[in-house]
Amino acid sequence: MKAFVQRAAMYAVVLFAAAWPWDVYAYLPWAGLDVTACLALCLVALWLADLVVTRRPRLPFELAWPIAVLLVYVWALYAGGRYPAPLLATLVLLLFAATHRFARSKALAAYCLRATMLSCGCVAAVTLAARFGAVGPTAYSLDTGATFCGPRDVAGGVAALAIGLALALRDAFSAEGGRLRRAAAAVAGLLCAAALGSALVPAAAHFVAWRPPDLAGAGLPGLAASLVATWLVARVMAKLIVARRLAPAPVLATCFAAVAVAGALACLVPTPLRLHHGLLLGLAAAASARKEVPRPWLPAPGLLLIPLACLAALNLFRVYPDNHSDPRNYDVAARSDLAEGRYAVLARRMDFFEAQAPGERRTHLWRAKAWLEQGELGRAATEFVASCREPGPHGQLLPGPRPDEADAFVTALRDAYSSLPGPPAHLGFERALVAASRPKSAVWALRLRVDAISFNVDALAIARVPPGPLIEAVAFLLGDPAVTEHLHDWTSADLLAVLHSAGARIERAPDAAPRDALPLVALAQSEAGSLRTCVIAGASACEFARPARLVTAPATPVWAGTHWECTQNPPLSFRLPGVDGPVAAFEMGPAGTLRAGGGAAVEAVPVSDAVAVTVWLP
Amino acid sequence: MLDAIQRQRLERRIAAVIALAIVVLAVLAYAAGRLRARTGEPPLPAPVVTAAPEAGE
Repeated sequence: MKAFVQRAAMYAVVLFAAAWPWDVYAYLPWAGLDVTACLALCLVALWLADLVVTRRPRLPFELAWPIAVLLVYVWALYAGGRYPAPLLATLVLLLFAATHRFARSKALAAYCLRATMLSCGCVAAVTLAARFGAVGPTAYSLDTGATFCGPRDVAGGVAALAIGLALALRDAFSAEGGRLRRAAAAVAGLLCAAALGSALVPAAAHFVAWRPPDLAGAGLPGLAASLVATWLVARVMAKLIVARRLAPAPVLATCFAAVAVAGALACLVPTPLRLHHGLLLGLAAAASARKEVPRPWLPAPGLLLIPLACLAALNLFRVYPDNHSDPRNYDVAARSDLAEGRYAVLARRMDFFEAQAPGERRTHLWRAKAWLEQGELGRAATEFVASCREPGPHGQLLPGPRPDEADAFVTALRDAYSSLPGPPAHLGFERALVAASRPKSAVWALRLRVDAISFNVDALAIARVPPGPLIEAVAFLLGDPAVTEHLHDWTSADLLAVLHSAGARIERAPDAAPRDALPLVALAQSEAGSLRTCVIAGASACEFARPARLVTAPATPVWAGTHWECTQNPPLSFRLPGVDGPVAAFEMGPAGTLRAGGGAAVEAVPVSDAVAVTVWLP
Repeated sequence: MLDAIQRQRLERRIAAVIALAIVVLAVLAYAAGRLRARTGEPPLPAPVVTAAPEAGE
């Protein structure tokens, strides 16, 4: 039993040492398991089993008392509401004790550190590949722009690559081992250095964003706990130094380098506690122990990378919504941003992910929620509509809104609109309903809007207006041509009232306009970074969308329709040939204004979610 | 060869030096951070590169 526990624990230590640098990528999707956390739990369980069987913790007093004190501190601080993650801290401390118990072999420690170094090299290679757009980063900093692949935060990325670099340098220049081992270490070291440099050199321009650990914010109990932890680290490092003085071994210096790098980084940047901290410290303490246990047979450390690389391949290009520790699963961070009112941070976070995945839709749902919280209902509706669009050809990190999420948002939007004193000057709520696949509800909401407003126009003039073009115009504003079938029984007066309430300018057409092209409706709608324009002349319509950033670039718009043609865009110039009359030239400015004669009408592109509508009546 | 007590004593001395070095490093970093927070500019947001939409998109 004891031998089995010892052997199983050694394998668990080795696997953990190889797996921890992969961090986010070490996630088993179908089981929903974090492999490193499972290995840590196994190791602690084996340690507890060994403790029950042997009734000896095999932990020297100088290492046991800091652990006991830290455990008491952690749970006392948690009880006082000043420490959020006592389980993680407990697991780290017990992992330290377990590693010290089972890895008491210099050869095993050296093997584990080599496995860690090779994994760090692989993670560095993936990080470098991400610089060329091959994969998306997992860790990112909105302040400095530094990104890493594998770790879940930038501090963790810096620490993993720095530890990998330190281990690689030790191995590459060590007299121990063959040429192949030194070559592998040199390659891993170069990769770590290159990845670290590629992340930190561009971020150096934003060095002003650097923040050291907040010592004062921890309070006196936190400071006391930090001091005890510092003493534990210092004691382990001292053990390494003394052990090396008594019996020199290369692994002792390697362990010292790893612990020193991790400790120095923890002093300089706020470093969240991670499971591998317990492992590294435990390996160092175990390597410095006087009594050793024999190392079991183990394959070459490089072979351990094969299953880990397979596991990483499952996570490299896909984000699993159930993996809450993956920063690419931005739902977790966005929810936190929204709950704490960090709307600017949320917007920058969504910018970051939209840059990674240009066709991302779910980011717009979070933007919509943020605008809704800020009372910007029109923008909230526009972003929601963008989140409900069909997925594009680009890959997506997370799926679009689920039906229940869309319903919940529309309900919240309805409540927000209901609290307004009158109908808003845009069709945001109705567009949101259409986007949520509820066109009938949208038409009902339009009916309520018409009933709530007063719109006085010449009844005789309106009687001459065919409703078809107006129906198409309203459908365009709602974002779905299929809505026309729900509007077929609406009168021109009601449709004009809807357009009027949405801010339309309703005018008599100039004499130059051919009569058969009337009513003429010109619409320009800015949404989600693009400008949609539409001109409905009589019974024909044309619609095209183009990115707003191409506002000054010549572009050839796509036209549909039979009665008019486009010559330039923007400003959008078009001609309306009469049935038997001359061709009349018109120009629609970028803001949707319409003028006859082709005069220059360069105006600003409408701001996001703005809509400009001009209606020319016969 | 050191006996157990001498080894423990030596370890404690070295650990004290290392712990002091860590504390000094942490305090220096904290002081630098405080000083920079008082005198320096607030952190600038990193430029977020927005993917350029292709023509006709």
